[in-house]
Amino acid sequence: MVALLLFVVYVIIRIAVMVSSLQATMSDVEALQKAAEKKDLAAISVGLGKAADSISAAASAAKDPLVQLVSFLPIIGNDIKAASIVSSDGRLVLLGAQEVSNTANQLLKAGVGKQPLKDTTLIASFRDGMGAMNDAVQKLNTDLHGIDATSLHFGLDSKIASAQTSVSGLANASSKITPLVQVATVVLEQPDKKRWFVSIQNLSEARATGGITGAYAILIAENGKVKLEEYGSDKTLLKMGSINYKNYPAELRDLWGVNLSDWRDINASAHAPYAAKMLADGWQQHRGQKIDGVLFVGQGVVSELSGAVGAITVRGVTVDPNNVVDFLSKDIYAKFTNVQAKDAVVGELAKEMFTKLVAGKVNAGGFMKAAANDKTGDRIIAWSADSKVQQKFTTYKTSGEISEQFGPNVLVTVNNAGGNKLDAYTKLKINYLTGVCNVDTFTGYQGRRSRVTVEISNTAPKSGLPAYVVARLDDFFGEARPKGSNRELVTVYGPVGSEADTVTVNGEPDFVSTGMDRNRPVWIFDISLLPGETKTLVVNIVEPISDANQEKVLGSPTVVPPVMLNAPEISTSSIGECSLQ
Amino acid sequence: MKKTLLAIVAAAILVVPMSAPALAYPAGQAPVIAFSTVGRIVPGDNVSVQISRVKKNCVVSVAWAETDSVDPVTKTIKATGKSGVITIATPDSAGTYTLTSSISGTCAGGDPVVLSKSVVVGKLASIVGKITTSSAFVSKNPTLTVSGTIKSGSLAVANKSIIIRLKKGGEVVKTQNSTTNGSGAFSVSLTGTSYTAGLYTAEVELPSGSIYGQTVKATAALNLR
Repeated sequence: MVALLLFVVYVIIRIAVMVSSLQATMSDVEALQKAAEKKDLAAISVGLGKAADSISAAASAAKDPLVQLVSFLPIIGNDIKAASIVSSDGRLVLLGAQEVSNTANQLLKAGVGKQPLKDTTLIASFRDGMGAMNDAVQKLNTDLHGIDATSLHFGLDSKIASAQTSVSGLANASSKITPLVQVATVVLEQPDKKRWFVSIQNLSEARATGGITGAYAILIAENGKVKLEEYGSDKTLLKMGSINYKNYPAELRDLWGVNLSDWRDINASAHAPYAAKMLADGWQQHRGQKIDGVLFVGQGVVSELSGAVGAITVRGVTVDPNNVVDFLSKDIYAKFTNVQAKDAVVGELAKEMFTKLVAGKVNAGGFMKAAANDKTGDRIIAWSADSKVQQKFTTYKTSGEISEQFGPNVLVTVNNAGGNKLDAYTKLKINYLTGVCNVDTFTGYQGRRSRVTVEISNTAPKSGLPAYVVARLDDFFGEARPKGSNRELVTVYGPVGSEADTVTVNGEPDFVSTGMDRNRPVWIFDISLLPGETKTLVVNIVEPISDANQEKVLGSPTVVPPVMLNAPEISTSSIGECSLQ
Repeated sequence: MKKTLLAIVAAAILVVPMSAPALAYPAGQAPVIAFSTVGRIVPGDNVSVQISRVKKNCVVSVAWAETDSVDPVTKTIKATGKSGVITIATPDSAGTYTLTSSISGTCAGGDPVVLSKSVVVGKLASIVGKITTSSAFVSKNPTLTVSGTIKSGSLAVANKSIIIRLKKGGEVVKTQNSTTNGSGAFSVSLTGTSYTAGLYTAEVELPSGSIYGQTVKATAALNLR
């Protein structure tokens, strides 16, 4: 009886410690927010330390085996679990933030971006800290969304529901900012002079890496300092002349029916290094300058950078993070019907933005806010001619490389085949279902039946769009193509070793072009869409569950989301694990 | 007639490097051969294909480049630029074949185009092999053994002839034929050869046959001192 009483008292004390520590953490976080509003970096670092100490006490109490035991009790069990998740995951987030804040302070003191970089370890630890913090934030977000807020008591329900919303925004911002920081720090830490080609993609005309190159900037980075060497629109590139594409894989040259010598057509494959090498080759061929790396950015990344540099006014138009995506993807065509003027505006905006960026005139808060508000499906892709640097981009998942490894993962890309800017209105839903087992592939492996479903919608209005936006530059074959109609090449990349059983469009058997890209089978649908029309494309596949060594393929089903203006809706489902026979 | 068509196709294939497809911005302008039956093709089964982005009223023909055992199939292009469904039987023995169609410059809207797609008819197999030795030293006159398993999916490739080649520096040192057992396993001891120090690789080849549509090879390495 006494032992039971002692147990109850002990658990109550530990829970009380957890609750009071969490309350202290919340007070510390509120103080932290005030410090952030005042841009007081020293206060932010101190505040993060206090909050981390408070939440560590809560996490310690939450990990107590006796407290964990109580989490299985009815009624209050869920409350204990929720508090436990918040304290343990939140601790990792705050510790990560503290590390990032400390290294950021030291970098600023060292004059990063303004002074030559004396020590690259600091910049590397800042990058690593950002990666760790992002991992912690994503885990907190996932775990928080696993909590049913409506089942909680003691006022936790509203607090957890509120935390779910705010952490979701934080997770979005973190997932957008972290790759940018990772790429930027890799660019900055290169000791020798490097020339970077920034392809500013127009996601309104879809390509597999995001969009057609609408403008470009040439950046020179050397020992921590960056300068803008040149900028221009795609017209400047086209005037240079065609690209000699002898280095492009021969087996892919005809797959999408593109003219690889044309600067606008080099990124039909999802494997970004192919396109990057083409841009580097083209620049070398026409300018005689070596390109050491290529960065692909679209309107989404530009909106985040816009948050960092603030509003920019060009030719009477002011763009800021709130309007830059719409302006560059839709409004610019209505406002500047003269194509030369439109191209000039794009080029001048790029120049202003990169001039401010390389001068270090950036606002971290604006950057963070713009990233949180970026609802596009854009992300930065980076390539380096230096294999060691490229390995870093691969590690940070920013290289845009298509894996050649076995595994249940698929990709979907869209290439605009109408020569228009209607992909500002293209929306995609992708589902990848891994289904029944015990089916051998004809490609030699034990396998399972799976299905990739792509729902593609053309949400363009039937009228009212500028002629430049609704152009149809593809050859006419008598089909109905009213204003707002579009033509897309939708490519599904199957898992390595997989094969298609059947392909359908809107439930009817259809025809697809086939080929191999990076050891993966690809199926290319040639789809026409009237304004407002949706089509459902299905590839029923049989995919390996054993690899070339006849061993089991590991991993959960994943879809690499296409880089698009409208973030695609991605879902996966599975009937479960398959066992080898 | 069939022979004549095949001769035309063969000639067309030979001129592939000299004729560029009508590629232009935006993507997808060139004539294309597309498949409805995409994979899992049993020898003798039909495949359904369609040729598109060709001028109307042009006549297109598809044929297998490697065999005249299947008659070519001809269609007239519709106003939509598409041929409609072309159904052609696959050859009745497993293998890798090329389905081709040559389009004249007038019909392609540019340069002449030869469309060709590689199609695997039948199943593929996978080989897992290793090479072992009775001694790592050439002075001991070792016996090298190449062993492994050949499967296609969950099924053993049973009682099939295989070829084992031992190579050093790319040169074949010894070749021996063998047969898989009922479980798809094989084990071959390579005797009667005096080895010199260096890296040896064993190449195991399962030739294509009535079921397995493509020759598959696997290699394993061994360093002798």
